[in-house]
Parts: sequence; C-alpha cells; structure tokens
Amino acid sequence: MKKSEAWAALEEADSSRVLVLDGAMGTMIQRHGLTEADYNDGRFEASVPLKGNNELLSLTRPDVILSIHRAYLEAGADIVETNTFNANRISQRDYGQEGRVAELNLAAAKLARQAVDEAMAKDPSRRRFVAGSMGPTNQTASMSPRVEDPGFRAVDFDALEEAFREQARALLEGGVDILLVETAFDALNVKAALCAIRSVCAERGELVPIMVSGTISDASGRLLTGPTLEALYASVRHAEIYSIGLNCALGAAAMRPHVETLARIAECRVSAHPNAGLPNQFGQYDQDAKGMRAELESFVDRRLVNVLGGCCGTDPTFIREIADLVRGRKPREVPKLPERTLLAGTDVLEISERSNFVNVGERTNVSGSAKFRKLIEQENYAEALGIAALQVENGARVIDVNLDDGLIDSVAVMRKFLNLLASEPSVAAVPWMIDSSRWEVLEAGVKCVQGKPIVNSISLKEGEEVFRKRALRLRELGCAMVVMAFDEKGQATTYDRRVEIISRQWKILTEELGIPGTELFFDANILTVATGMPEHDRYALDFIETARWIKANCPGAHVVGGVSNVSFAFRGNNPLREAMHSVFLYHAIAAGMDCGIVNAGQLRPYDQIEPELRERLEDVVLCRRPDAAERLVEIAESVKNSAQAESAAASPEWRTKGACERLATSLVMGVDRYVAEDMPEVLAELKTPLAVIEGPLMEGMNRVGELFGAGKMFLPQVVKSARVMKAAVEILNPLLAESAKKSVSAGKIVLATVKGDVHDIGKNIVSVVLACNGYEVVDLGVMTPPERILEAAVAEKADAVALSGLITPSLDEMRVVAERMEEAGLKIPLLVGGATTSKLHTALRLAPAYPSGVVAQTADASRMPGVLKSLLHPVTGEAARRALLEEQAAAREKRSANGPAAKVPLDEARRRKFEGEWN
Amino acid sequence: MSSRPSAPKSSETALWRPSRDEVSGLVEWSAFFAAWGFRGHWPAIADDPEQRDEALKLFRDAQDELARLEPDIRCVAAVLPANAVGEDVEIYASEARDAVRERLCFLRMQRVRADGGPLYSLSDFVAPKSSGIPDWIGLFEVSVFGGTEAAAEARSRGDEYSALLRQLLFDRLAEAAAEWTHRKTMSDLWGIGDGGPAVGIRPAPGYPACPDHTEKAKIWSLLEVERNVGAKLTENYAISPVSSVCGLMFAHPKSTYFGIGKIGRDQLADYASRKGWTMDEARRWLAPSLDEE
Ligand code: B12
Repeated sequence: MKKSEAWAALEEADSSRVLVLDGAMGTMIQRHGLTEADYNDGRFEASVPLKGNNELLSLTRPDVILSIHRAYLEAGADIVETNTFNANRISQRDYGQEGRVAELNLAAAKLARQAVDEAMAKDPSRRRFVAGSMGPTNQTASMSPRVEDPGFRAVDFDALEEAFREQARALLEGGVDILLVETAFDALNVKAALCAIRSVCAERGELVPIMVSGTISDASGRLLTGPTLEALYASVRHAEIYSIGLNCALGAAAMRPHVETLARIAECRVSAHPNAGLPNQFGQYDQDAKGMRAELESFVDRRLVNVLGGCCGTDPTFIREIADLVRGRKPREVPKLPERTLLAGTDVLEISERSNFVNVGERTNVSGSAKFRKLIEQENYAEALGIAALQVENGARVIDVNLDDGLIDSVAVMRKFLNLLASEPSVAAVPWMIDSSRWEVLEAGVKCVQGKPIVNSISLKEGEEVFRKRALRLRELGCAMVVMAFDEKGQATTYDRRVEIISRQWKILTEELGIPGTELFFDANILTVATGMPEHDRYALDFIETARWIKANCPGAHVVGGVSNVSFAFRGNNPLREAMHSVFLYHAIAAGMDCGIVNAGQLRPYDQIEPELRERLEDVVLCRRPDAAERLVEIAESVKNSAQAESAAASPEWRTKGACERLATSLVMGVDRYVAEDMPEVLAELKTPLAVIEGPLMEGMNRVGELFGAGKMFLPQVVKSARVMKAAVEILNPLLAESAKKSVSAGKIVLATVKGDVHDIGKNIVSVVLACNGYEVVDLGVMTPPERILEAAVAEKADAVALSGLITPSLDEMRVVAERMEEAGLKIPLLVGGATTSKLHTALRLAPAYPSGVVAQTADASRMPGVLKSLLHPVTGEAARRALLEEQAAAREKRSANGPAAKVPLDEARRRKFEGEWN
Repeated sequence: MSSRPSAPKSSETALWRPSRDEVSGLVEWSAFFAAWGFRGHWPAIADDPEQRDEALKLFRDAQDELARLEPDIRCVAAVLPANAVGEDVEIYASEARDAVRERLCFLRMQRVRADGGPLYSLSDFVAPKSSGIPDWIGLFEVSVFGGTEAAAEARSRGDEYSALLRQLLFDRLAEAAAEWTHRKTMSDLWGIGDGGPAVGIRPAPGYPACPDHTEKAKIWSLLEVERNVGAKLTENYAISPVSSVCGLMFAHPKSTYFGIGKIGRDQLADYASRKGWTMDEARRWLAPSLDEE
C-alpha cells in the first residue's frame, strides 16, 4: 500500500528530533467542572446519565475540546490526540450511544484538525499532526469475564474489527494524520484494530501511520491478558506500524525499563506517554511537571524514544516541560536488526540462524492422536487441555492444534478449544500452530489467538488465485504460515517437484506479495518410507535434499514437516519409530530443517541408538541400498521385542475379557485365530447355538455394519470380519436346527452377474456385505441367463434378486430379467449395481419393465443393506417402495421435460473434426 | 507442427508371454484401492492419516499375495497398414493398400462445445486415405489366466478376503499387461520410443471414445485372438477370462482420450448403414450413446 503524505512528513519531522505528544484529555476536561447539561444538551436520548462520557463533548461543548487542543499546541505539542478514546460502539453501548459513533469521531477529528491548522497558520515553521485516538474498548477478546466459564468471550475479533473499522473510517474522514491504538491491554484487541485500520486504509488507497501503545498492568511487565512486550511486538510487527510504545498505568520512572525493552527490539519508532507518577489514595496525581521532567531525562539521554508525551494527570505545563526537555536532543535511532522470525503466545519465541530446532507438539491433533480425539468428542476439554500442557512440559516449543474430523464441528470446536487454551498459562505462553485443511477453520482459529501463531497450511492446491488471497489474508491477520509443497497437480513427492512448487510459491509470496521470507515455513512433505514400494524409497532423502535447497534459495524461510509420517510403515512398533525419527531428524536438521511436528515426549538421542539398527535406519532414510527396507523389516520385530521384553509374554488386553465379549471383539477386529478356542466357553455360557448367533455374533456384525455404513471402517476390515463370522457359523451350523437357521437370516437374496457379462468382483463384494448384514446369499455366478435367475428366485423363495453388470450391454440384460420377473408374477425387489448402472437408467428403463415390483440401484455396496432393509421391512416396506417409485416417476418426468441436449449436425461436426496436420 | 506417420519395423502379429515380475512394476494401484473403497490416489492414500493405516495393511497383504501368484499372461499385438475414410478406418491386406481387409467403425462427437474445440472421432488420428499418406494402426489383446481358479481356491477355504485380493490382483495385472504390451508394441513393432511410456493412446472398445463393444469382434479376427491367446468373447462382447483387455493403438502425437457423449439421429442412421445393422440393432448396441438413455 502506498503510504500517506503524513507518513513522509512525520518521517521528516522525526529524523532530527523527538516528537512531542500532547497530555491527558480527561484530566483537562475534569478541570472544567462540567455538569450533565454540558454532556447532554437535550440532543441525546438516554436512560442513564451521560456525564463522564467525554466523547460527547465534541458535539455538545466543542469550545471546551478546542481550547484543550489549543493549550497543548501552545505548550509545544507536535501531535494532538482527538477526543475519541471511547468513541467506539462497544464502549458507547454502556451509554446507549452506539448509534452516534461516526458522528462523534468525525466531530472530534475536525476539532483537532482545526486547532492544528490554526497553529500551523500562526507558526508554519514546524509541522504539527492530528492523531485519532482509539482506545481498547471496555472488553477483551482473550479472557473470559466469567470465572466459572473460561471459554466464554464477551466480545470476539469480528465484533471488535467491525467497531474499530467504523471508528477509523470516521476519524480519517475527519482529517486525522495518524491513528493511535492506545492503552492496549489485550494483544488480540490490538490485532483486530490493526486489521480494521488497514482495511479502511486499503479502501482509501493509502496507508496512514499507525501508532500502537500498550499498557502494562503489573510489575511483571505484561499486558493485562498476559503478553510480554516482546510478545506484543511480535503480534503487531506485520502491520507496518509507525511506532510501538507504552502509556498510562505507570509513571515515567516505573515505565523506563519497559521502554528500554521496546527500544531494544523494535524495528519501528518507540513512543512513551506515562502518567504523572502514581495516583495517591484519592486517585489524584501528585507529581508536578518538573518532577516528571526529571524522570524523563534519562529517556532522552539514553535515546530510548522517538515520541514523548503524557497521560493521566498531565496538562500543558507538563507538555511545556517535555517540549523543553527534548529541544535540540537526538531521537532514538531505529536499529537495523538481523533477520529473524518472531512467534508468540504470551511469551515470544525467536527463531534465527542461531536458534535451536523448534519442535512442535503433535498430540493435540485429532487425526494423529486417538486419545485426544476421544476427549474432544466427549467434550472432555479439561483433559484435552492436560494433553496440551503435558507437551509443553515435555519441551514442545509450539503446539499444533488440529480438530479436523468429519464428525466434529471444527470451526466451533476450534474456537472453543483455543479460548480454553488461553486460560492455561503454560500453554498460552507458547505460540500455537493452527492446523486444518479447511480455510474457514484456520481463519476462525487465528481470530482467537492474541500472540503470533503459525497457520498450517496453505498451498497451490486450489490454484494461484486462492493461494494469493489466503496468503495476504493471513498476513493481514498477523500469522506466520506453513506453505505446503502441493500444487494443482497434487502433492510433491519427488525432489524435482518439491523444488518446482516451492520456488513458485516463494516467488509469489515474496517477490509478488512482499511477504518476508521469515514468515514462511515450507512443509516439503515428509512421506512414509519402507512401505515396500520402490517409488517411496527416496521420500526421506528427497525431503532432506529439499531442505538443503530451501535453506540455500529462500533466505529467512524455515523448513518444517510432520516427522511421524516417515515411520508410518512401522505402526505399532514405537521403539523402532522413535529411533527412526531421531535418525531422520539428525540428517534433516543438518540439512537445514529447523522446525518439526513431533511427539515431544518421545525422541531418542541419536547416539544412543544401537549401531546396527542405526545403520539400517540410515540405509532407509538416506536410500543407500535397494534392499534397505527389507533389511530394516528383518530386525524390526526384534527391536520391538527387546524394547518390550517384559511385557512381550502378555497377550492383547481384550483377551482377558469374558468369552462373549472376546468373540464379538474377534469379529469386529477381523481376527479368526481365537474363534475355535473361545466357542466352547461361549456355548456353555449361552446354552444354545442360536443364542450365540443372535448374541455376540449379531452384535459384532451389527457393529461392523454400522462402522462400515458410517465410513469408519474399510472394506478390507469388513471382509475379514465376514471371514470370522463364517468360521463361527461353520462351527455352529451342525448344531443348529433347520427352523433356527431360517430365523436368524434377515432374508434370502439371489445374486448374479447377468448373461454375457463376466464381471465378478463387484458382485462378490456385494455378497460379503450382504452376509455381514445377516442376509443369506445364493450366488449364481457370472454369465447367468435370465431363466436361471428366475428359477432360483422361485425355488429359493428369495426375498430379493440382485444383479451385477460391468459393461453397457448388461443394462439391457437387466431389463430382460425385470420383464421376466413381471411375467412370472413376482413382486420381490430387484436390485441392480455395477459400473454402468445409474439411477436414471433404472428409472427410465428398468422400473417400467417391472411395475408389480420395484427396481433399486445403488452406487456402491455399502448403501445397499440400508435400501434392502427399508424395502423388506414388514411394516414400512410398502411406504419405502412407493417413495422410490415416486422418485423414479419424477426422474422420468424431469427427463422428458428437459428434452435432449442440443447436437451439432453430423456434417457440421465433420467439418469441425480434429486436423491431424499430415504432410 | 506437422506429423508424418512412421512406418512400423514389422507388421507381423506378435505373441508375448511376459512374466509376472516383468509387468508387476507397471501396476497402477489407485484402481486397486478404489475397489476396496479407499478414496483418492495411491500413493497419496498412504499419506492420508484417515486411510493410511488400513491402506498400508492392505498393501502389505497385496504384496505378499502377489508374490505367491502364478499368472499366465498372454499378449497379442500387431501394427497394420491403415487409412481413414470418414469415421471408418480401413485396414489393408498389405502395404500395397489395394485390398481392404477390415473396416473399423468409429463415432464422432456431436455435442455443442462452448470452447470451440474439435469434435473428435478416433478416425481423426489416422491419416485420411484422400491425403495419399500411408498410415498404420495398432491392435492388441491381453489376457491373464489363472485368476478365477486362484480365487476359487481361496473361497473354497472360506477365505473371501484372499479371494477378493487375488481377483483384484489379476485384474491389475491385466491392466499392467496392457500397458506393457503398448510399450512393447511401440518400441519393438512400430519403432517409436525406447520402451518407456508410449507415445499416443490406447483406447479400448467400450470406453467412452469408442463405446461400441461389438468392434471387439474385429480385433478377434484380425489378431486371431482365440487361437493365439485362448480368450473368448461372450454374446455381449465381454471377454473371458475376466482379467482381459483389448484395444487399439494410435501413434499420432496429438492423439488424446475423449468421450463421444450423446449422438444425434443423423449419426445413428449413418452408423447403422456403415455397420450393416437395422435401426433396432443400432439402437440396442449404441443405447448408452442415445438421448433416450
Ligand atoms: C478395473 C476395471 C477393469 C479391469 C477388471 C474388470 C473386471 N474384473 O471385471 C480390467 C482391466 C480387466 C478391465 C477390462 C475391461 N474394461 Co474395465 N473397468 C475397470 C474399472 C476401472 C473398475 C471396475 C471395478 O472392478 N471396480 C471395482 C468393483 C469393486 O466395483 P464395481 O464392480 O463397480 O462394484 C461396486 C458397485 O458397482 C456395486 N455393485 C456392483 N454390482 C452390484 C450389484 C448390486 C445388486 C448392487 C446393489 C451393487 C453392485 O458394489 C460394488 C462395491 O461397491 C471400471 C471403471 C469404473 N470406475 O467402474 C472400468 C469399466 C467397467 N471397464 C470398461 C470397459 C469397456 C472394459 C473393457 C471392455 C475394455 C476392453 N475393450 O478391453 C474390458 C472388458 C473386460 C472383460 N473381461 O470383459 C468400461 C465399461 C463401460 C461400458 N460402457 O461398457 C468401464 C466403466 C470404464 C469406462 N469408464 O468406460 N476393466
């Protein structure tokens, strides 16, 4: 953004002197002894007294305000502040005057402008400025006002931003040169103000100078909501502010060490406007102008500040002293500091060339930690917070928070969880990494963070436009960002692709968008090695090489990655995984990786890994030999066993449970090893084989069916469960009476691939899924002529017929079967499925051929049991059938109403053929 | 850019019987995982925290099973002299190009293309007869035998899981063998490329660029598939054994896959007369390409 004219003028003015800011507005107003009538001359409707709402005076007693500005200018102030400290809709709500906000700011800005213009006319030798004062509002976005509910917030980022935007817009319209975000007690409120100001500036096409001034609430040197000054600075550094400083709360002497801190770290100007000492027991300030001057002398001697003024208790006599004090004295020199990354929670975390590897705690991630996910699902936030705290205790310097899960309302839960985290001091101290694959979750998350977070992540997955937009938005919100090596074509898995994508991202982010390299954390994708696939062999090595490339080509940028991915092939073998992580990190860090998402509690020192294991791990990580993975697998078990020698003898925990429970668990887990062993005990307990089937077996199978239907179980698991079911039923079958067999079946289904089609696999999957749901399946195989299907349906007294087909001619065969079923007077449902079937074709061609029954199509096998169940239901089946028929009738109607799509006539199509350019 | 078709090194019909290990490197695993209900592409699936656990388990099992399989892979292919006449491609008995041995029939896109792109027919990728430029077309068929038996064996032991694994692996091998044959044909018969990824395309009858399944019969006669490989066509033109693929190879560097989509009545009549079909027969075999479906 182009900088405003006032920027240049300020820079010129401040190059040679310390600028003088005016003193207190409130103190001066008090002296006028105003009454309710001065505050409300009848124009305001109010249910509470308005006395004390000083901002109203800009409308009702402009003479008073103007005289105060004049007095300060007279005393030597270079910058006067508008009478707008509380002129925002959140603070004004207390007086019912939130509708007046724009008016108040506009009037106040004009008054200050008028005073400054007069002063300039009198003495044009020195430029004077108007600063629009923006107080923090009377609410905080980082703390709960309710002790019993720490996750609650009285105000949020969006509401603050909106309020500040309204105020800034009116102030700028009234002609202010500078916006002064002052008396800040919450870094998140400040960030909302900065966002608001910058968006208003963007509307206006120029950036005005922004001054940020915080208020320290106690001796620890922190703002009320926790951040240190370093953390505050880290949180606002992105916004191209003109100055950072302190005001209020402290007298000059007490403020000095903190101003020193700012003077040391700030790469912008530094301001200070302390109170006139500390208030006495009556709330009045006893220090006089000379006394304050004496305390401020060292500020000037040591060249700590660029802007100096007064806050509570100061008046023009003080400002006259200050103006006199700084006359002819040199201002602070803005230091040129080495490039570095500043992150912050309530404490700052600096990452520079010299700093150590930054480990990011990975346990507060629902997809990485089953335990954490369960706690979140159960809304057991207290324990979930405990996991976060434990990571910090174990040495995590940043914590990653990821709440992406299909079953979680990630936006709401992210807000809730972060708001709670803020109440846990040890966790609030470290920077957070807001992690989600969903943009709205990221945006909602960072709006809850008062420090400077890292957002994880953005990429080119959705193209450059989206990438740019998101990067800029994150920059505005003051976040560092993880940039993933992912583009429109997919995730980078080779070195070349990584470099290709990262260089493109680097160029866009730095050259085009002007984002400093220090704000970027490139995630070059740590992928799983030793999977048995040769194309995965170079994954770790390519990452390491990419890290080297990034460090050489992207100055300031960091290299980050999720370390546990690398060892995923060895799930269940933690000792090996931990060793692998250490070896991987050892090499990756040497190549330049400086930040990693890890389980902070579980890293083994590299040199404590036993040499043979280390060598084999290195072979894998560095891709040193083609059989590296095999050689590692060879010793993997012994690594695990030796690490768990004592507990090795014990069998899995669930084996200690009751027999029925064990059988059901075997089923759900798809383990057939124990079925024969457990069955006698189960039979003894439940007495009859039927009870076994209806009890633990059906229970287990229902659970499997549910999990699969809900997408929480994968087909291979289901098939394995079916295998266990079959084994169990085989044991029981000889003991079952015929009548009992019938009663346990949910129904009998005749299944076939139609005539002329050889397709088998889809049909077999359907068969397994049906069996899992308690159906008895009569599988007629492939290439089944319609006669055989009909025969079987009648002979077996089938409850439904199911047909599968892969190629289009099979669609016609399905129609033939439907016609035959109609002719045979059947009424049972006909189900169809397979690659070329569709709902539309079923409605148009199949259903009309079998009007006495019903024809249903489902796209995949997992949906079929649901459909079948509803159609076969003794009570509601008829309604389900009618609903389906209506749906199909509607599809037919819609089809004929729409008519065919337009076609290019054949001769014209021929003219528009592809030209082969032969010669 | 202009292209001059290049003459094949040989127009003999070639028979190959590659080993399992020769083709298994070309297996495209995404379809395997799709069949098991996983989402997305392999190996990205292995990096998806939701899926990788089960995916890697399955992958291990598949690798183990694959190592035990003994598939009998048979491939047949030829590159034959050909030129386009309208949407037909004439295949000649010899390089003299004076006797038509077979006529392949293709369809042409008729949809309204907002992007103004060409309305493709596969015949566009073969030089027209009227140009006087000689061109060629490749044909192939591959079948992997043994899958049905291997699956039946596992099923007889009640092991449906292994049965499905085996079936899917045989299907994958069929697809891989098609890729292998494509590469081999291009390098060894046609003399284009070095055996790496092949130039041009390999559409299969039934796929969207050539939805007419009955064209497979012409491949059967041209390559003598029954005699050379032992695979048969059913009355509806499915191939038995199931793990089989047949198709055509076009070498034009700009040849591309596309979908015919729906055709108009004018083309239906035109195609019927080219195929010697009644309108009813045409409607039956082209049903999915017609508006009524
Ligand atoms: C893998 C595959 C192959 C494999 C294996 C095929 C086989 N074993 O049958 C190979 C490589 C061998 C192959 C060959 C061919 N293929 Co193919 N192939 C596929 C592909 C990619 C996946 C099919 C598959 O196995 N999926 C996995 C299984 C588990 O899924 P499924 O069968 O669809 O079953 C699921 C559901 O449909 C449903 N379901 C299935 N049946 C039933 C029944 C009921 C009652 C219910 C409720 C549900 C249901 O539940 C199942 C599990 O969820 C599809 C494209 C696609 N996306 O579907 C093309 C596809 C099926 N193939 C096609 C073609 C044309 C062929 C060939 C004819 C090509 C050729 N000229 O050689 C050959 C023919 C092979 C033969 N033997 O006849 C076309 C068919 C199009 C058409 N218009 O006819 C498709 C649709 C591709 C396309 N987009 O054009 N193919």
